[in-house]
Formats: sequence, structure tokens, C-alpha cells
Amino acid sequence: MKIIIKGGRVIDPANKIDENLDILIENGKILELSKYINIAEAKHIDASKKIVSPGFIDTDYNFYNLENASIQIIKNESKAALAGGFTSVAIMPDTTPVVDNKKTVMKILEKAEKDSLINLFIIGSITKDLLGQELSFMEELSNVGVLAFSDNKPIENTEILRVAFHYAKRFEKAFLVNCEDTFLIEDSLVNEGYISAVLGLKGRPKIAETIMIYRDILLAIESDVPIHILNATCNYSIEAVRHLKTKYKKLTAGINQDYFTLSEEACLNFNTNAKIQPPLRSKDDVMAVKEGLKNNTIDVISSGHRPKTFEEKNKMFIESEFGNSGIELTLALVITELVKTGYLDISHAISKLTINPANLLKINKGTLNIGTDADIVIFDINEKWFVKESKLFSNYKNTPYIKKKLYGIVEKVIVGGEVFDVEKI
Amino acid sequence: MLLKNKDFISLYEVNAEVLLSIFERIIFFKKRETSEYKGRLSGKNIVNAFFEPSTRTRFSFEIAEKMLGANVINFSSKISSISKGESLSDTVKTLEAIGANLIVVRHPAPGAAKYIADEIDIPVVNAGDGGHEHPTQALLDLFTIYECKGTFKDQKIVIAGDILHSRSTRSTLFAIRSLGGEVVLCGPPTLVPDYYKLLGAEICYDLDEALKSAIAVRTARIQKERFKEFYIQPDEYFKNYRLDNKRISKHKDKLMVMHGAPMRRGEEITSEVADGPNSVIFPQMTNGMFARMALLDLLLRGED
Repeated sequence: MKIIIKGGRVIDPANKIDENLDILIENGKILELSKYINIAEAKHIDASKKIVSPGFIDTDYNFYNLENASIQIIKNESKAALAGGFTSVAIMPDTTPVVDNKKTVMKILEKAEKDSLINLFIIGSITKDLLGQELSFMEELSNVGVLAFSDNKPIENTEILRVAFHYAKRFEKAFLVNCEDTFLIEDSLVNEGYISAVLGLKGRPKIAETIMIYRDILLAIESDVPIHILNATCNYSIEAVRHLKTKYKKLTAGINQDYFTLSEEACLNFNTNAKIQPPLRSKDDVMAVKEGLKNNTIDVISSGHRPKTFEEKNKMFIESEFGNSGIELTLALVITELVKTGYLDISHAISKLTINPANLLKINKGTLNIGTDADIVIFDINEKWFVKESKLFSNYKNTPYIKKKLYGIVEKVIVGGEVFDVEKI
Repeated sequence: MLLKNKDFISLYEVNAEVLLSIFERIIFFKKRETSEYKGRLSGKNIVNAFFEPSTRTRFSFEIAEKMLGANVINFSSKISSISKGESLSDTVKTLEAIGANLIVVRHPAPGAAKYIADEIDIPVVNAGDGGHEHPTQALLDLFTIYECKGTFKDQKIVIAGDILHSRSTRSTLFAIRSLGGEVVLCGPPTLVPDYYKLLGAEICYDLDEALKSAIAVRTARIQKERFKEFYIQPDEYFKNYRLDNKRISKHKDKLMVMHGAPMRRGEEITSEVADGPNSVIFPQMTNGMFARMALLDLLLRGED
């Protein structure tokens, strides 16, 4: 089965490509990139005036109840990911049950194989049951193919984390770390600063994050394990990463889309859709995040997708669950907040969603290399639209972006050669 | 509608005109005989929904409500269906459905009053939501100053004590700033966080220094029930921040001494000062009742 994507502006940062090209796909693999490809029996996809790039890879994605999810739910969540430009996601281990052993991995992969429209990868937990007390079955997790390790929350006990780092030396898989000092953030739900002053809520100081970034990176340096800071949300943290990158090569940093889009003021009026962790920070920190992305201190952009039901979110602020679901808005937020504003050109932005996460997770994706899987996204960079709750694909509508004006929309996504028209799935 | 929306939840970004209109309504009630206004809210059902213990504030609201002829229903969470597992949202929707015209709410969770107000169409008055705000307390404090001084422009007001846990301080700070006044927050550094500067307050750790050009000092009572003990050293705290005669007499000509009650005589304030010529503590309480009358009147009758 041959497919030709015709006339698009092809951007593949890994290979420094940014020009109008046709792409030939056969049997799910990329076969050729050339100026004019014409094969009569191939299916033609018209990509004129669109951008064609490798499909995005998400490094911070949650799907809590995957094992028990119905086919329809998985399909809707896949659609949401496709709408955000993603062809691959790495699922964080706080599923039910936790991904701390081989059996759970196999069950998830089996389910994914059957029902998911996109590639699902697994991140294994560092500690058993995410309790931060005993190591998970790290060796069998590594052998069965988890891409990296994370507890998706801070590990309080430094000694246990140090042991985990050293134990994991053999596996050469990255630790994706959540950095916040649990004592300093106890009972605290927002940034310590303007918003905590206005709302009378205990705040999480920025240094609670930066202190742990230093701690975790030092542990990684000592054990020579690759480390990825999932979220460097404030100026101090970004400075820390920048400084320590000069000392250690296996250090990368990422950021979820909310931290370059919203500041702490989004929590005014006790808006639970802005309740995330780490918390939304000050306007100065938002600028520091954008600068950090621009100067490559921050390598990866992720969705930070945390799907929650209406009942879980629609409570008083102190009781509401943390998190917002956002994967279907990732491309548009990146274009609106980073590209249209001049911080990143589109190719640079794409690199943070493709080749950089691919390198972190050590998967052969995120490029348009000949012979690799045809995971490709075709999108319009200029189309203006407004977020409407009724038009969201995900089953989970906990997003602070309803009514937001956005630029950029995904038209088609190809996953392993299978073509999805985002509007029509 | 006098107030920006149907509720009275917070004084964040409150308009000076709104505050002055409320003050005018307070004066209206203070000047008149009971017989002139006792039927203004007759037929209205007001529910005092107190999910957190209170005596003073509840009594104050209840008397205000009855003075205007409203039907008063007191609701305590201990005896209500909350204990049967009903959601807060359903509880207040039920009150609205049964015929409440206004709900006065006190709740331990910050944001509770806003949450409730968003769930129902009738007005909600915040009588204190966790550590967030206590706007009616701020109203009575400010009116007491207004009654005595006539203006807030360039006037310096000191609030001293446990600022960190004082919800009324937050409301008062918002309101004084909006009226053009200056606020100096005074206390030990652990109880006076820097981020209050972002709200337009000055910070000073030396009370005697702060009192030098102040027109009023308002105590923020230590709220032992709200925090961990290691934030202060008690003996040093009271030595530095107690309102005693030695400290107050230096400024006795113009300094108003204010307190939110309950007072712990001998701790944050001495009896000499509490009962002395600078004290307006009991007049504050009287103004509190009138302030609540004015507020309820404005919310349920608008500008008539």
C-alpha cells in the first residue's frame, strides 16, 4: 500500500529539512523524500499550504484506568492525542494497577495493541506501588521494554532515590523526575507569591522545586544515570539546569504546555481547572520558561495530560484533584504561545516534540528517516479557532482553555502508515 | 445593582465607590430609630449556614437580620445532612429550592463561599472562608476608622500580629488600598510573609517604629489553632507586639486601638489599653451589626 504526501512544507529538524517535498510511504514505512514523486497507484494526500513533520512524542502522559477502559474510551483518548499532533505517547506508571512489574506492562501493551490508534509506550515506576519505599521490579521492567523510569511524583527519601539511581546504572534508561520538596509543599496548592497572597492559600515556594532539581541531578551525576527534569517551571530551576548541563551531559529538561501558557493568576476565583502540580508560577517565570525553551535549556515539550472526571474537579479548590487534560491542544498551544509570539520558529518547536523526546526515550522515531515507521502529522499553522467543550475529543474536559483563541490545527495524522483524518475519526 | 455581582465574597479589587456606598447605608441605619427600618426585609428568608464555629459573627448577623424583620434560619453542619454524606452543592441548592433568599456562609475551606455562590442564584455573603477572607469584618473595621477620621487618603493603618493566618487582614488590606490608604503589616518575619508587598502593603517588624505615624493599630490575633508552633517564640512575640500602655501612651493623641475579638487580656492586649481612651473595640462590634444590616439591605433591596 503506497501513500504519497504531496506538496507540503516538510520540516524534519533531526535532518535539518525545511522545504517543500513529497513523501512516499510504503507498507507503513517512509520510503522516499523528493521534490516530485508521482506514482499512479498510490493514495495521494494533498498537503499543499500545510506543514508535514514527524508525529509528536509525549513524555508526560497519564491514562489512569487503561486496563479497564472500554474500546470507545481508548478510541476517544487516541483521537485527542492525534488532534494534538501526537503519534506516540509514553504512559506514566500511575495507572491502576501501578506499572511496577512485568505483568502489568504486558496487560497494558496487549490492550494498546488491540484498541489504541496511536503508539503507546510505557514508563516503569521507580518504587513499588509508587510509595517511595521499596524499589519496583526495575530489572524485569527494563527487560520487558519500559522506556524510562519515573514515579510521576517526588520521591521524598533521598537515600531510597540514591539506591534506585545506583541500581539502575545497568539499564541506561533515563529517570524522569518530579522535583518538589514534600515538606516545603505540604498542604500547599498554589504558587507561593501573588496568588497565595490573594487567595489565602498556603503556597509552594519555587525553591521547593529548585532544591530537589539540584538534589536529583547530583544523584544522577554520582551514578552516571541519564536524568530528565520533567518540569523546570521557574527561573531558579531553569538556571539550575542550565548550570548543571555544563557539568553533566546526560541531563535534559522538559516542560508541560501549561507553564508557557498560563501564570498563577489563572487560579484567581479559585479556578480548579488551573490547579496543577507543580503550580502555575509568576509571569516572570513564564517568560523564563519561554527563554529556556529558546536557548535550549529546556529540550522537551510535553502535554502533562491528566484526565479527570467532572466530579473529581468540580469541588472546592482545596478538595479538587490536581491536573488538567490537554493533549489535544498541544500543537495549537505551541504555535499560539511560542511560535506566533516569536520565541521559537516552527522547526525549533517541532524538535522539542519529536527528535528530542525520541532521543530521551531512545526510540527510533521523531524523524523522517528513510526506513522508519511512517508516523507523520500534517497541520495548518495559521488557522484560527476557539476551544469549545462540546468539540473536545477526550472524554475528560478538565481544561482551563475553554473559549481560548488558538492558532494551528492538525488535519491528518499517519501512524505506522495508517491515515487518520482528525475531523472524521 | 450596587455591588458588581449578586454576592459579597471578597474585597479583592473592590471599588472605592462600593465601599463608600456601604458606609453611607451604615450611617443611614445608625441615624434612625428601629421603627423606621424594622420591616425592610420582612418576608425574606435568610439562612446562616455556619460550617465553622462562631459566636460573635453569627450573633451579629442574626441581630442584624432580625432588626430588619427577616426570617432567620440557623444551620449548623453538625445537625445537617452533610453528616449524611450530602454534597455541599446539594445542601445549598436545597436551601435555595426550599425558599432561602440569601445565605450567609462561614466555612473552613478557602474558596468555599465562592464555590457555593457559583452553585446557586441567590446572594451569598462570606462570613469567613478558611484562611481566605472575612469581608464583613473588614467593613466594620474600616467603617469605624471612617466614622472617626472621615477619610483614608494617605492615612497609615498598622495591622499587628499573626498576619499569615488572618483572613480579615487580607480583606482589610484590599479595601484600605482601594480607598487610598496605606497599610503597614507588623509582626515577626515568620508571620508576615514578603508576598504581602505584592498586594501593596508595607512590612515592618518593629511595632514601635510602625506606630509612629499611624492613625490606627489593629491587632491580628495569634491563631494557635491554625498553625505549627515553631513559627514563633511566644515570650519574645508578646514582648514585641503586645499592645500595652507603655507602647500606646506614646501615641495617645490620635491612635485608634482596634481588635477583632475575642481578646485575650494580658496576651496580645492589656486591659488598660482595651478599656482605655484609645480603644474603639466595643464600638467596632456595634458597627459590625450595623455594617451587616447595611450589607444585607443592599443585597436584598438594592439602592432603595
